[in-house]
Amino acid sequence: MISNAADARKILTMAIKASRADEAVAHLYGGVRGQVRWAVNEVTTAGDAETVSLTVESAFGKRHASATTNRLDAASIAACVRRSEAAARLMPDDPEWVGVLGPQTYAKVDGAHVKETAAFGAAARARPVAEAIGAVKGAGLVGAGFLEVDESAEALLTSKGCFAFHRATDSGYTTTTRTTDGTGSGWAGASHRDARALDIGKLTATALEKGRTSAAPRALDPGTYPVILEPEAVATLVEVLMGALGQREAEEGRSPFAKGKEATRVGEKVFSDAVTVRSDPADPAQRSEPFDGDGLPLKPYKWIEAGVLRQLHVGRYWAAKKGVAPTGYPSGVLMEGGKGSVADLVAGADKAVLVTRFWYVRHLNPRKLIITGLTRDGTFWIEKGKVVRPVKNFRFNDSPIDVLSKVEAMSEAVRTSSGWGGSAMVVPGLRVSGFHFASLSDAV
Amino acid sequence: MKLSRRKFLAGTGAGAVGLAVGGMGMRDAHGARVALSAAAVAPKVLSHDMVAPADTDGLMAVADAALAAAKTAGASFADVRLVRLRNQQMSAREDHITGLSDSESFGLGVRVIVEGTWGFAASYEVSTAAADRVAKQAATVAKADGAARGRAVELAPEPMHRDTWRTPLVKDPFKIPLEHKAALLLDINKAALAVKGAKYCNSYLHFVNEWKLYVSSEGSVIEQDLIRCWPGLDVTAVSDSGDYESRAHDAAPRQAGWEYVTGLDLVADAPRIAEDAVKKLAAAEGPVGKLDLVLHPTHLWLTIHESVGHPTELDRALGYEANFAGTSFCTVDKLGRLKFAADGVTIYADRTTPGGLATCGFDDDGVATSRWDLVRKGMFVGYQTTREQAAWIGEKASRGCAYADSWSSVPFQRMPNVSLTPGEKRLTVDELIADTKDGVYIVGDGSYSIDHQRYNFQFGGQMFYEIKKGKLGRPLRHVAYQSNTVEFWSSCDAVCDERSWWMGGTYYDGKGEPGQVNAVSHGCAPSRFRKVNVLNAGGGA
Repeated sequence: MISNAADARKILTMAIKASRADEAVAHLYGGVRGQVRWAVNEVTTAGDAETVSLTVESAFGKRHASATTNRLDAASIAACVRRSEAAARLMPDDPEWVGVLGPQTYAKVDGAHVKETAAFGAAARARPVAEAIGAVKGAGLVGAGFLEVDESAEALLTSKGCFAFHRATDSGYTTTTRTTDGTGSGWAGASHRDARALDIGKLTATALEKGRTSAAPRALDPGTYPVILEPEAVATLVEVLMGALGQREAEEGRSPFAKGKEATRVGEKVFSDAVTVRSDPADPAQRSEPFDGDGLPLKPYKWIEAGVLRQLHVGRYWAAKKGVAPTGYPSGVLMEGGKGSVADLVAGADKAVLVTRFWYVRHLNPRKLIITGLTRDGTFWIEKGKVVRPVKNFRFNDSPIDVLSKVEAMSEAVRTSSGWGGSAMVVPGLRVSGFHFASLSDAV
Repeated sequence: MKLSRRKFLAGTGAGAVGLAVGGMGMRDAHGARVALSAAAVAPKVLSHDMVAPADTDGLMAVADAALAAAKTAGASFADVRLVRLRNQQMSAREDHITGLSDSESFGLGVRVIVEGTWGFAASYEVSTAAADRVAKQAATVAKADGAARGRAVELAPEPMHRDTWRTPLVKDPFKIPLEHKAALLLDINKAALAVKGAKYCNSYLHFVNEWKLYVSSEGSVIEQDLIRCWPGLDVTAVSDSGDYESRAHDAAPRQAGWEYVTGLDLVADAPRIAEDAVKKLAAAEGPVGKLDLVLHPTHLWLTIHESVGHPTELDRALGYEANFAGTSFCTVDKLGRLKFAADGVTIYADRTTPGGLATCGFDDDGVATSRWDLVRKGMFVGYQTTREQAAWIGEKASRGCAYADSWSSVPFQRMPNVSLTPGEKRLTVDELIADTKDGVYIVGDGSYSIDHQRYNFQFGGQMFYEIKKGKLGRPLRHVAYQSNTVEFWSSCDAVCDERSWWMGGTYYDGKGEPGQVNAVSHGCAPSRFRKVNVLNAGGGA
């Protein structure tokens, strides 16, 4: 495990010193992941894995290529450098190569690495999982869950003296509990930099409550309904939206935020008044890495402010071409929330469908950012401020842009689990005036 | 299986077997199962130029150290995987190469069973000292979790194997000069962009080499060396009004050598793909309603993956994936009883199909691979299993579906190649279209989404054509179809014959926590499905 900046710099310096290229950037990642997985009310697989990787990108003029190794002895590092150089020499010029960065200043991100999380070993992981399994068994449901506790370090050094280092811990727990007749399923999940803040007991209770109350759902006809989206569902939509906020794609006419020839919709009121989406690596709720893959500092940005599209993300090549400052790809995304909980959103709703989370979200029409996906693990009908009954899951076909332009109320923002394949987001639950459910799913 | 009856560490001691793990270049062009011979034994195994493990004791010594430490720590079973993964990816955008990355990753993963509970640990350090430490850590994990384990893990019996398996190929893609690859991509883009209206073209090559040495406490020693190739391109056409459409080429990833890539002749094919993108821009909006679908293999492979491959995974059916990938409507009580599809539909699992991405000699449980039916003449008859799972449905042997995507990942049940048997009657796609009154012909895979029990799915495609009175008509756009698995497969009334059987696939079949990928192929011939719910994904004018 690379435990400090000095160790990281030492390894990276070996690579940069070995370089014979015009320019080089070396990127180092090291991590220790510990996991416990359980299902059908017993532990299934668990383990620890320590990984490391060193990537060297070499450039001769505008010809460049990268090589990666996970052997960190001097000879292997030198061999990796040589491989990247040999490859770079064979490449044609890349007009988009903008060179490596010189020294940069990064935001100080405090508290991303929590030593108690790093020390969370096999026994510390096993204990809360055993308790959770006991609680699910006691409730007469069948459950599954996953606890992961990670420690990681990321660093880079360029031949022009740009050095970046970030160390973090993260922990996440997700759980699904199902009724024995297979008609009910409930989910809960969360993530924290500090594993001690993961309240597995509380998450278990939430999943159990949802599992029990979602049993024997009735079908609602597909159609457009007001919805309450829990933070986990909102995170999925915001993640899709962030991916579509690229300046280059918009200016090339390949984006829902394109406007005519080479213009974008920046400055337009696109979303509801209440919608503000920003990113800030140093925000106490996120504490994420303050630099992009090439060492570019990731500063705080407001992408959407009070419903107005303020900024599109842009990499160094396109930014230089357009004469604007590069933003890099956002790290530490936060959507501003309101006050109160999801329960308060329910209490304030006349009629609505409550969605716990989404599943298998895919693009249907990139130009309009229409996506499809399904609801899962706790879908309910709400009337006059109360959960009336569980309803069958739906497939939806709708756009995050439309959803975020129909926001009526928000709960407070919370850090979600990292979803499937995504990164943890800090987002609120939303009450939205209309959402299009296209068909019914029999899945529980 | 009573593991205690087997001699622990049998045959894996010093001098028992050595492997030519340094001999990456000794690939047999005729492929499969080159039995280990004295000539293949190389005591100094670590000479490969891409990977030089930190310790030079030899990989068998490393594996032995892990097995010995596992045994001392109380393991009733242990296996070690020493895996070296290489990935080479090159991409081009319009007239330039945008990236070349060449990565290698080498390490060891040790799995143990202590008192009926699994434990796993892995490290990038490869030495006898690291093997000892990692094996002890795996045992520590197993012991920590024992209290939360119900039934003891039992593995179905499997004969001891000492064997090697290599991808049959002529040319190792990792040995093809990079400038040849760059020239190919730039030629593809140039050919595509010569088509009027085609504005952007991305092309790529992605090669994977997965070398692994599997050594178990039961005495198996298996070396495998797999090569995969994935070439591709996509073209975007933009209209004057700012509308745009993309068309991805249907080239499939395969387990093959460089000759597969050159055989596709993508340069010659690129203009067709560009023309398709331009055609899509001017295409009529797709229809809405219940229509007959003729699905080309470049499209249908993905529907098979999602609606047949996933629901027949036994771990899903029993709830082991409930927290992530989901469960399955194909529950165990339905095995042999559920009418899954029309009588003419037989779908089989096969880890031996030549060129299939999931094809190999042995799985990551050390089980010899095979072929079996999942759906036979419409009936649901089989599951995908591992050694741990076989007994759960009363089967005596594993189907050989264990896989881990890295040395750092835990092996679990992953999808084999799952394919549709071609029709017995001679039938071409032209004859099938001629026999269809009112429908849509879909080519290529597009948007795909399916629920977590594999009932409700919705698929797009690359190209859509109207079928009217047996004639292929104008191109359409924004077509998607939504159906339910059993209803859909029950509506299949024609499958073309073996002449048009073709295999698609992906490197990125995702499952498990933490997420792992699996490379898998699916073969099929053009097929017809009656009265499927077709919708328009255009989102209004």
